[in-house]
Amino acid sequence: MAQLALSNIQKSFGTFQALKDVNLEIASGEFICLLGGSGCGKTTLLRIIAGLETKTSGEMLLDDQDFSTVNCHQRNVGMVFQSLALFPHLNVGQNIAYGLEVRGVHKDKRQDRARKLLEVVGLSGLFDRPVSALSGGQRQRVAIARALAIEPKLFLMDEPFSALDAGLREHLQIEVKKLQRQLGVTTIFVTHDQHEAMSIADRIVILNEGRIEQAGTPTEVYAHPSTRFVADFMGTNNIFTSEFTPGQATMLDGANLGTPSGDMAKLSGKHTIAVRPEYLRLAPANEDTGDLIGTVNFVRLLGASIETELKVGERTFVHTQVSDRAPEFAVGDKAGISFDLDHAWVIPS
Amino acid sequence: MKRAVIPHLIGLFPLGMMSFFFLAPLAFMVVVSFYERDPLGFYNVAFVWDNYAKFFSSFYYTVSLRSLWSASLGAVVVVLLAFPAMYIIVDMSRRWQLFWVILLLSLMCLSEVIIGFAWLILFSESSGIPKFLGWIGLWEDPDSLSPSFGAMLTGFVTLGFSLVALMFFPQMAQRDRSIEEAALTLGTPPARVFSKVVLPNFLPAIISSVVTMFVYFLGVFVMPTMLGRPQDWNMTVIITDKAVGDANMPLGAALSVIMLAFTLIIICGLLLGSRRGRVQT
Repeated sequence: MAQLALSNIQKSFGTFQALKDVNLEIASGEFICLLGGSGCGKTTLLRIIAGLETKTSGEMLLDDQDFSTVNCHQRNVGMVFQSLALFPHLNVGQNIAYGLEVRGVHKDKRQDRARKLLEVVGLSGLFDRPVSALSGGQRQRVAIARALAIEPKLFLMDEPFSALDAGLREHLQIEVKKLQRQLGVTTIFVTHDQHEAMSIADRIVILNEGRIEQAGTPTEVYAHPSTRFVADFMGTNNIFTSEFTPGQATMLDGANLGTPSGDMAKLSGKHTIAVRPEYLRLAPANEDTGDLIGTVNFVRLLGASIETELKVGERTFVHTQVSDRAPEFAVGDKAGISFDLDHAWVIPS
Repeated sequence: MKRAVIPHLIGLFPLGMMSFFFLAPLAFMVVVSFYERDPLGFYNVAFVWDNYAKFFSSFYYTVSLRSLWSASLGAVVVVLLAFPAMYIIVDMSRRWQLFWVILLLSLMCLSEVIIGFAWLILFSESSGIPKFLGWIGLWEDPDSLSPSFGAMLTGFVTLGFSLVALMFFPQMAQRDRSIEEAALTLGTPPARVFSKVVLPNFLPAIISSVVTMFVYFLGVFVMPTMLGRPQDWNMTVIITDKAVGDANMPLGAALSVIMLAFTLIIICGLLLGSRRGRVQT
C-alpha cells in the first residue's frame, strides 16, 4: 500500500505554473529521488510535502489520511535543507535534540537519542561541539541526524550534497542509502544530478517543467527512457529519427542500421530511437565498416571511461569505452559507427 | 612592496588624526579634572582630588544612577521595538521595504531639536495627543504630557529607532530563512519560531545594539532638557550645567571622566558577558 499518494497536485506562483497535475505514489520505506533541472518544480513539490508551501489544487494522502490540511509543524517530517539550516546558537547535541525538546521529551531521553544518532552518523564525541567548528561533511551528518531524531514519517532531503566536493558527496550518498535501509524510513531526495539519483534511489521521478516525465527504477529510466527529455537527461546522447519498414533494414540518413527483431520489427515509418554511448561500436574506417562513417571531433578521459564524439554530417554520435587502454581514435580520424538494434530503444512519440 | 605600504600610510593618516582629536581633548580633560576652580575665572593649575570627591555626594551619585537607568531603559525599549519591526519589514514586498527604509532614513535626517519640538507640540495640553484624547472622550481633563520621564523616553526612542532598525536591516534581510523553516519542520509552532530561533540567533546583534544605544543615550543632551523634568536630567545635562553655567570646568571634567569610566566598565562587562554566553552555548 502506498504510504504517500499525490493526486493531480498543481502549484501556481501568480501566472507561473510550477507544478502541473503531479501524480505519484510512494510506498512505505521507499527511497525516491526527484530528479530534474533547475526550475522543474522538484523543490516546490518537496516543500509542498513538507508543508512549507501550499498546493493550488490536488490531493495529498499520507497513510490514507488527508495530509494537506495538517500544519507544517504537526506533519512529523524530517527535512534536510540545501543550506543545512543548522541552528548556529546551539551546539551539535542541542541541534539534534531540538525536535525532541519541542515535543517535550525529557532532557535525559533526548540527550540519549542524540548521542545514539551521533554514533549512527559517525560523529560520536562531538556532542558539545559548536556547529561553527564542524567541517562540511560533519555538518551534513548533523543535519541528517537532526531530521531523523524526531523519527519522521517522511524523510525529505533537498539537494543536501550539492555544495560538497565529489569524493565526499559519493561517500555521503552511500552512507545515506545505508542509513535509510537500516531505519526503513520513507525518503524523498531532491537532486539535479542523475548519477546521484542512479546511485541511491529505489525509484527515480524525473520532472520537467512541472510535470512528471517518467517514474521508474534507475535501470528503467536509464535503459528505457519514455521521452526524449528523459533520454537526454539520463545521458543517452545518441537520439535520432530512423525510417522503419517491417521486415527490412532500418535506415538513418541513407545508412543501413540493420534489420530489427522483436517488437521493433513490427514498426513502420519514422521513429525516434535512442542508443546509449556504451552500446556504440567504433572501427577504423574501411570497406567493411558499413555506411555510417564519422569523423572524430573530440576525445576526453572521464576517469573510468573514454568518451569519443563523432560527427556524421550535422549529426553527433557519442561513444564511451572503459579506459583500460589508450584511446583508439584521435581527433580527425575516420571511424565506422555501428550498434546492435537490440540495444536501441524506441522513444514513444 | 611600495604598493602595499602606500595604502597603509593613507589609512594611517585619518587614524592618527582621529586618535589625536579624541585622545588630546581626553588627556586635557583628565588633567583639568585635577585643577582647582577659580570663582572669578576659569581654573587654577593644581592637583586636587576635590572634584572627584564631590561625585560621591548624594546628588551626583543619584544623577549618575538616573543617567544609567534612563539610558539602559531607553536602549532596551528602542531595541525591543526596532527588532520586531524590522523582522516584519524585511518580509514585505520590495516596494514596501523601500518605503520603510526611506522613511527611517528621513527620520535620521531630523535633528534632535526638531524631534524634541515635535514631541513638545504633540504632548502639549493645547494641541496634540492630550487634546485629541480629550476630544474623543478618553481623557476627561487633558493635561500636558511633558515634561516627564515618559516624554523624555519617547524622545530617546524616536532618536534611536531608525538607527537601530537600519543596523538590523542588512542582517535581517540576508538571514537564512531555511533555519526558521527547519524549526517549523522539527515541530516548532509558527508563533514560537521567533522566540526559539530568530531571537537567539540575533542575540549578539541585539546586545551590540543595546550597548550602542546605551552609550548614545548617556550622552544625549537636548531630549532631557526639552522633554524631561529637572529630576529626569541625566549626567550630560548636569556636566554642561556645571562646566558652562557655573563656570566650574574642573568639576565638569571630573564628572565626565567618571562617566567615561562607568561607561567603559559597563560596555566591557556586557561584551564579556555576551561572549561567555556564546561560548557556553
